[in-house]
Parts: sequence; C-alpha cells; structure tokens
Amino acid sequence: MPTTALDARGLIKRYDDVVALDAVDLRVAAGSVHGLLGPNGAGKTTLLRVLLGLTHPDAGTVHVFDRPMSDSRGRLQPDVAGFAEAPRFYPFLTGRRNLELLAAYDQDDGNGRVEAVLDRLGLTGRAGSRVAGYSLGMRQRLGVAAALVRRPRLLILDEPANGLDPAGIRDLRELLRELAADGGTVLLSSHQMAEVEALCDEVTILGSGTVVYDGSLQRLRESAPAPEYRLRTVDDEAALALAEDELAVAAGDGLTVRARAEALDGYVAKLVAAGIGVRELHQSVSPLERMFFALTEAGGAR
Amino acid sequence: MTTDPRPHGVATAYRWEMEKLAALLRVRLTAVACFLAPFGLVAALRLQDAVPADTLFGRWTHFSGFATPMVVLVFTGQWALPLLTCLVAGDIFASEDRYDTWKTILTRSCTRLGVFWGKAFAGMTFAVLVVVLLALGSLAAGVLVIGARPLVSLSGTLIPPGPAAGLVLESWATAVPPTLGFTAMGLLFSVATRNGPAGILGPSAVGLVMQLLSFVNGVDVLRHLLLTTPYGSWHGLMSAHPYYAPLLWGGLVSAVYLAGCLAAGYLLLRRRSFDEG
Repeated sequence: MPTTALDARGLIKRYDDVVALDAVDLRVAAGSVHGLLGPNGAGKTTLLRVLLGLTHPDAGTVHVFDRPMSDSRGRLQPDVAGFAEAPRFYPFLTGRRNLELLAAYDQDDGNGRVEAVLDRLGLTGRAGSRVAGYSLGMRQRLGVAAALVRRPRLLILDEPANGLDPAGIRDLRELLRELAADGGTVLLSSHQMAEVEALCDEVTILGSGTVVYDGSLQRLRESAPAPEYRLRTVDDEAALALAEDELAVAAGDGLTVRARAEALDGYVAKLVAAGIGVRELHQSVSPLERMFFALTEAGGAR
Repeated sequence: MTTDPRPHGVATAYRWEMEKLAALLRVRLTAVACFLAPFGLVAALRLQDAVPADTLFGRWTHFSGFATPMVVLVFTGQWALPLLTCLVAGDIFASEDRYDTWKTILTRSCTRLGVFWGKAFAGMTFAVLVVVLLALGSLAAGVLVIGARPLVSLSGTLIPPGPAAGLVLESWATAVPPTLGFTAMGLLFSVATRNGPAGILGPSAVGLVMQLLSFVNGVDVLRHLLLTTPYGSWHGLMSAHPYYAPLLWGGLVSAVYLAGCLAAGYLLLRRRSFDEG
C-alpha cells in the first residue's frame, strides 16, 4: 500500500502576469490529516482546483496513491473526492436527489450509501427538501456528504467548516478524525490556524503562490515566537513602565504583551507586587498564528 | 496517464439531464404550451371571418382541420422553432455556470465527453418533443375543432382525410432535422458564451437573419445553405407529384450544421480550464 496519498511536484499556474502557483510541491502521507494554510490570495484554491483536475497547471505533476491524478479520459481517480471553494448543487433538486445524481455520475447506484452519509452528516431530516432552501452550513455538510458518497481514500476539503455552527464544527472534526483513523487521508485547506491545529499533524503553508513552510505542526510550534496577550490593568502607564525591554507595548485601550509563559508569570507577579490590579489578560494571538503571519507576510523560507 | 476501462457515462448523464429538465417549471410549461397553443390559434381563427390567406394553407383553415397543423408548421418553422428548442439547448451548459456546478459534476467519474453528449442528447430529445407536441397539438386542434375534411394540396388537388393526416405528420417530420441543427447551435452558444440568455436568443437571432436573407432575391446558392431553408422542404410532399430533392438537401444541410456545432461545442468544453466558478 502506498505511503504517500498525494504527491504534487513543481506545480506552476500563471494567469497572465500573475503567478498563482510558483513551483509548488505538496506531499501528503497516507492516513494523515494534512493542513493547507495560507492567507486569501496565497494560491490555496488554485492548488485545490489543480488537485481536483478542474484547472490545468502550466507545469508540474500530480500523483495520487502512486498513480497520475487523471486517467486517460481526463477524469479524477476514483479514490479522490472533495471540493474547492464552497460546494455547489442543483437548487431545484432535493439534497437526496443531488447525492443520488452524483453517485450515478460515479457510475455507482449509491446502494444505501447515500442514506448512510446523509445520516452521518445529520441531513436525513432535510434530505427531501430542495437545496435552494438550505443554509450555508447545510450546504457545507451536503458537500462533505457528496464527497463521502464516492468512498474516497483521499478527501480534499476547502474550508469545510465555513458556515457551520459550533456543534457542526465539532461533528465535522470528529468525522475527519474517524476517517483518518480508518486509514483515510484528508487534505484540509483553511485560513484558520486554530482549525488546522485541532486536526492536523502536518501542515503546508502557502504565501503568494509559494510554499513557505512544509512540515509538522510540532516543529512549527517549536520555532514559533512567543504568543501575544491582551492586558488591561487599573493603570496601564504604570504597568508599561514596569515591563522589561519590549515585553509590552501600548495598544489603544490596554497593552499588548508578547511573552512566553515564564516571562508573563514574572511580569504579572511584578504588577501585583506594585499594586497594579489586572483587569483582563487573555491570549489574543497564538504562537502558531504569529508564526503564520510571520511566514506569510514576510514570504519566509521553508 | 493511465487507461481507465470505465465508460464515459453518456447514458447516466443523459438520464440525469432529463430528470433535471423535468424538474424545471419553464421546461414543463413550454411542453404544455406547445401542445395547447394550437387550440388557442384554432379558437381565435374560428372567432373571426377572415383567414390568414397570405400563409400557405391559411385560406383552408375554416375548411379542413388538416390545414391547421400546416399553418402552424409554416409559422413555427419560420419564426418559433429555433427559439423553442433553444429554451433548453441554449441554457443546458450555461446553467452549470449559473449554478457553479461544473466543479461538482466534473470531479466525479463521468468524462467531459460523457457530460457533453448526455446534455446534447437531452437537448435534442427536447427538440424532438417540441416538434412532436406541436404537430400532435395542432393536428388534434384542427381535427377536433374544424373537422377531418379533405385537404387541398399545393397543386390544388383534394387529399382525402386519411392520406392527409399521414402527409401532415410527414411534413412535420421534415422539421426535425433543421430543428436539431438549431439545437446544436444553441448547445454551441451555451458552451461558448456560458450565458443562458445568449444561448437561447443567439440562435434565434441567427435564424431571424437567415430568414431575412432567404427573402433577398438573387442569392439562390446562399438560400440553399441556410438552416432555415429546410423548414420548407415539406413542399415536395404536398404536391400532386411529390419530389424529394429539397428533403434530401435539407437533411444534408441540417446534418452539416448539427455536426459542425456539436464538434465545436465539444472541443470548447474539452479544452476549458475551470479557473473560476
């Protein structure tokens, strides 16, 4: 069994003078949940479109499970499914009929699979309603259901949590973890570090069409700068005067503190000893988010 | 690239395109209107003393029920069939752009060729359905309201009711090839423009220009190459001494338009990169 689910090499895609993908490499291990991160315009969606066979790259190759991504007739390998951008359906058909249609397009009669995935995504109650009446969250869930109907070994999802309520996000995470535990592979695109942190071990970060980081989240955490906290005290000026070096800076109504745990503990202890009451203290930017900003805004190196 | 033995999925795409069409209100309304509109025409003609004497068979509309389907054939062949058939064909590809569903179906196991032919056959099925419903509706309206009396042929001879019914249906059958030609043109416009209104109205505008060109004297060769000309090829059937050359030529011209538009449409779809939407 191949150990690599997806192996994309040297992908280049240009739109006139704009280079959307500049020699992008992406390797996703089989059985993993791999995060694809990047700010808007970084090239994530273009990359997913290439991986799903919707956009022709100007150069580069894509293999899934050691086979070329497309067969001789240009269609996606049968063990790959997913969506780029928001999933779309025929609004005048019901959710169930849309899934049956897509199962038929996979040359599969569905054979109970449609009902099973509807149930798994919590859509059974609304499956008989036209998609035109679905909320954004329901369409997202139907998109995941449509992908699962195909029985993929590699699932490619673009911002699947968009529009989901907290319970929906929790259920989706649980589902993706189950898929990975069953040997499936998930490539999860997101612009939210928290989403990727909750699910992924490996991550690829795109910035302006190039890979700016590719590796484990653990390694990224280790090299990340100190987290950022929001601090409000009874006397912010006095608190700022007590801060060493550039530990804290004024930020409108309150202070921004960039410190690791020990330094923060020491600073808070000094504030209390000086009689400066702490009214509010919470992490505003996680270390990984700071790293993400640093990589994507500065065009960092791998 | 590896070779995949799985079929292209033409039959699957066709079946689902038909289901999607059946779910659309405007498609159902068009089908119903094609059958019922001739009844309205006959009722309107009965309410007035004058007949549409400047239209072939028009002067016999109060005399023979078989004149009604021929008048409807003349009128729709000149002005309506290109628009009616393109109500589906002109939108069948563009609707995927409108709903942004290309990425939904092209990431499944049907090939682009399968999707193309599934849609093309569905569009052509609707085209034939329109012709059949208009023919049957106008025949039923004429016979039920005016009566199954003999029809006066283009040569002035009387055709008994039985043979007249057969000739009327054969005449309507000659409208199928050019209608399929316009259907293919609608499919091409739909693929090329990715815009439903352009796909629907574009071929109709082309048909209108062709119709106007056919009225211009001195361009006989051009007239034979127009896709609207085969709509008049039934004339040979309604003569005392039938002739079939216009039918054969009309069939050939229609086939050329059909094949050319389908080939161009398929090439456009095959080469399309879905970089947006």
